[in-house]
Amino acid sequence: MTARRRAALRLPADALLVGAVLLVVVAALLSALGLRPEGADDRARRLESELRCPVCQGLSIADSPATLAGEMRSVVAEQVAAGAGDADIRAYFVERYGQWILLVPDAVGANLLLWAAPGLLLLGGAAVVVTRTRRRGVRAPVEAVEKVASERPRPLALAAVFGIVIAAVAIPLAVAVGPRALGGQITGGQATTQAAAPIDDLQARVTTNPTDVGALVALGDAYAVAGRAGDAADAYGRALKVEPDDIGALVGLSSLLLGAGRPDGALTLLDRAVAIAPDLPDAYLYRAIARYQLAGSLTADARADALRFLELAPNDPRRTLADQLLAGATPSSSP
Amino acid sequence: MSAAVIRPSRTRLVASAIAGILLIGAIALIAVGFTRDPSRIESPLVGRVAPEFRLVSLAGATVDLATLRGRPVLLNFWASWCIPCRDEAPLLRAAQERYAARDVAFLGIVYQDSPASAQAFVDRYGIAYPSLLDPDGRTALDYGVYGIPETYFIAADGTIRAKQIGPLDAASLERQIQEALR
Amino acid sequence: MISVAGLTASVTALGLAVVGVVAAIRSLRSGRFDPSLRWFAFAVAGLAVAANVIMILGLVGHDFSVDYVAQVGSRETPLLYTIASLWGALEGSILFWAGLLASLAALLVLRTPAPSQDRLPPALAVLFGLLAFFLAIVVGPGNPWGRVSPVPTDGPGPNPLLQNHPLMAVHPPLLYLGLVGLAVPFALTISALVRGDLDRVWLAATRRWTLGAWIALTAGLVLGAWWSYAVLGWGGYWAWDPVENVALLPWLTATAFLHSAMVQERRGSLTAWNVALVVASFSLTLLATLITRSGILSSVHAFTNTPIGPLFLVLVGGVVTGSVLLAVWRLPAAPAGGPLGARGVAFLVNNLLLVAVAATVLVGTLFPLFVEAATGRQVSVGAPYFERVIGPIALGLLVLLGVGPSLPWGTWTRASRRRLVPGAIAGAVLATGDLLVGGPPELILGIAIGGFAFVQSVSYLFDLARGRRPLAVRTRRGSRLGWPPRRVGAMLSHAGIALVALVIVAAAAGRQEASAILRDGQTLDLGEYRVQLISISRETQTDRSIVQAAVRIDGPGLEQTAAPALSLFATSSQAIATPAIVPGPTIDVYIVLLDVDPVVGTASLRLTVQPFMSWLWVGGLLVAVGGLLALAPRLIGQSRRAAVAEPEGVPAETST
Repeated sequence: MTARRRAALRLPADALLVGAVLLVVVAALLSALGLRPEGADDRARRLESELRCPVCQGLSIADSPATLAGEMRSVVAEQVAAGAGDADIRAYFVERYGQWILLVPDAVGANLLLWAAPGLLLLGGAAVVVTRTRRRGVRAPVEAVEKVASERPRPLALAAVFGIVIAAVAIPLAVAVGPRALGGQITGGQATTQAAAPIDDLQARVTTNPTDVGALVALGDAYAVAGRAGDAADAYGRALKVEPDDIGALVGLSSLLLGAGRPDGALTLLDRAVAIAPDLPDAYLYRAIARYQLAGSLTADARADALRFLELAPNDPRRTLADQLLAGATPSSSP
Repeated sequence: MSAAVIRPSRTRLVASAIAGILLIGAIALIAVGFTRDPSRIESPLVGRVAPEFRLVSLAGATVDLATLRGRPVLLNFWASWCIPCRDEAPLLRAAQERYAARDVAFLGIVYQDSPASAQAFVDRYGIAYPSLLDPDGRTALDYGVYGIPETYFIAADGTIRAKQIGPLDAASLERQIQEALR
Repeated sequence: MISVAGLTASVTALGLAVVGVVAAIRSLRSGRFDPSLRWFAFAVAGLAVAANVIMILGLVGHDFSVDYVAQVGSRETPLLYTIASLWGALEGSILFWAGLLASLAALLVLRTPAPSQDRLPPALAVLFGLLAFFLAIVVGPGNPWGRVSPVPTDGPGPNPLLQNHPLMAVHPPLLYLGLVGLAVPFALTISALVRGDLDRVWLAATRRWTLGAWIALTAGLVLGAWWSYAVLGWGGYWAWDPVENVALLPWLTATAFLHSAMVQERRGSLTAWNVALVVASFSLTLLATLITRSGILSSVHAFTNTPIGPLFLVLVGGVVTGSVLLAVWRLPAAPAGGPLGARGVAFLVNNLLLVAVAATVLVGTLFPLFVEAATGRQVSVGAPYFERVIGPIALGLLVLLGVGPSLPWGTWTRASRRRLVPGAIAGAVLATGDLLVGGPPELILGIAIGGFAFVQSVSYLFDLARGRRPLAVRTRRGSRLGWPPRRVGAMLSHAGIALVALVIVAAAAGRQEASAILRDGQTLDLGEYRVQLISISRETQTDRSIVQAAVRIDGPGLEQTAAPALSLFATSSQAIATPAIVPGPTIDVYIVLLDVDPVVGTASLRLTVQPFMSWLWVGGLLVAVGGLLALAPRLIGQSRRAAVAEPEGVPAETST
């Protein structure tokens, strides 16, 4: 390689390095900025991966094959679907199993030590490295002969050095805090307000006017969404005392009964709901489930209800439930 | 490098002292760890009001915990596939007879089991108190159950006084029922 | 018969080890190597190995009069797992450990060239002392040789998890070899401290023995991850479980030492740091043993709670305190030392990051103990914590891995920067590509930096292959081989690490999962993949009943049947899932049978697809192969003289 050609290559090499580092950093930043709020499935999966399985204690409930983990996953999925915030979902499990259930301890109290330790270690170590190299010097006068030429630092070369150093520091930092803080807080924050605010508001409304059926039903819905089935049932019950034919309370209470494994009670309420509002898809879906649970198989009645639901609400997200119900008894339908 | 021994420098002494302190701390920590069983999860529910449930028993009766308020309750999570539960069943049965006069309510909750197998177990051990079905496991989850058998001792005021993780023996059963009766 | 023979061998070995300690100390006083030490080493090794062989004979011959055989043996267990049960439970594993340690002590005596033998007595005193500790456990609290009476006709067999995959016959011995192997550099270092000769010969020997142990440890960890993937049925390979973590710790510090040793080789500095790393690596192996053997932290791998734990605690405490005190008294003051140069600084940063990772893993693993001791509360520190905290540091290490080998020992020049161009282009292209397909920032950075590190490592290999050393103005053309094995090995290991990093990032990002409860004929769809349940069959063997779900897998370029299974052992209530894995160059299809409902006739299946998983094992083993290559000149037997002269020979290969 001639000296001239080498000289021609110098500039592009440094420029290329700077460019490449910038490109990677910019790509990561763009991606972090363009990060969509995570979808329900991703969010559920993330939360599941942060909860410890009480049975296979080494694994998260996302990975554990244990039945209990499956039940816990369905709780997470329900609460995510209901719009509960990350903190609410974690609190639900902590209430039952203690802090032990969290694979990522909250950064409070003694746990701060855990989160600070790596940073402190790195900082302390870096201080030692810096003082050491200062004392010794990075440059090796003995081996100055090694240098290809007696070069002075050029702007581009310096830029390359700084670029790489900054990237080496900034990239890990960005990964550590950037996207997580960004993505996590957006979704978490929104969800929390959604779930928390109405309960307080509604409670206030109900206290001032105990016969406000609309508020009672809304409160029941909010409780149900937050996983507080007892309170929800209470609210629906009070609504029905005031207005025995309130369709929202009937359907809400029956879904709670279904969840509690009492299809018989649910069925009575749902029969009434269907009589009052023959076009409400929810009532048919729940009644199909209640009938299925009571009979232990897909009876003609349950089948008719499920089909009616699909007919009334062909685009409802819960149609998979109806599909499953229908498919459960007819395995040949999915070859 | 010469073999000559030079007096340790101050930095080295300081560094060694720090290392030594950390080390002694770590060893003490591990020594403390020897006294604990890591697979045992302490329940945060002890001292709190027992979670509500309303479940249907194997016999078809509906049992609501709220209606038992005012009586001490022994709540035992079990399954027919659980081997220690087999040793525990006769103990619980005897205790129920013994404490009938003290108005202690005994309840079993069937954990991850089929009603048929559970019924066979009930018949085999002559369990007279209601065995409740928890088909979706939500009640077990509400009680923070992680490995059966687990037994909760609920006082008359509805608070959980004690939780037994793993099989009961005569002494622990006696002690914890007394706790709930206090 | 077996009991008597085994106990006799163990007791005799213990006696000889104790006498060996005394003889070694006497030899140290005289300052000369006492040839009788040679025979002590060989005799102890012979006896300890004989004790292991006797135990294997007992296991294979189903002699249930021996306590350990009655505890882990079973007539139904296949031969391979019967032999593997030697290290499958507590008492046997300590016997095995003693056998390995004794063999390594003998090997040390054999492989140390005559001029260096005067350095051996203190090292042998340390090794004999450790051996005495292990053998005392074998003879005392962890005695596997007890007689069982009346003699049972059959035993329960080993833990079901341990007889499910042939890797169980390879992974633990390699891991043990790696852990035990780190005792030798530790002994050499203590010896050098006592004798005051922390010189080049010490460094070369310590580096070589560490490298040997490191190779075994690397292979053991990789195969362990593979075993976890193939057996545990959760689709992952590393759960950040305490026992996995503590096995990783000595690997991290040993890796740090292998790098910082080069700074001492070239610049004569970092002696104290190197001593600290060697001592830390060995102490951490003892800690690993302690945590594994004591069941102090719950783990799938831990043995049950035993009285042996506290004994180990005393040993760990003694080893570390003794080493620290010895270092304080005997370590010479740091020499002035030359400037570190660009490469030296890079090694220093590398050490900082590796040790930070190790410390983080240690703190995270012990943290629950700390909180419980301090506050009585129970907390968990799990995979998401470690991934979040260690991920960024690992990226920094990868950057360094790509840049480091291009750096000269002198000043960072433009010519050395030019060598980064291939990797930089690769990184930029990969980052752009990821951005275009909408990858999240973690993926973009992971793939770009991993790609950079991998391409750089490969380009260094190419340079070495072509004999091109653009920067090596000062190169001595003294290398006997065209390919300097140490550098080629190092770059192979680097390429392996970069490959592993790439797979970890890509597999996590591309992982998809679905599960369903199926009846015969029903299907489970996941992206382009479809699994159809054909039938459920049940097979009863003498020691277990196996439920198999025959499934048909359809996907791009894939059309085959598989049979994930669940095994129920007669002697254990634990059901063991055997996943069906269809590995491929671009994707692994992984099917686990979670549960079977015999009444309804349904099977609960979980389907996971993960890209590039096969390359994880390739990359991991490449790391070990690189180490082997670097050690090759030693292994294929150069002259003893050359062995001593090694540190002088190495600088022939300069930075590039």
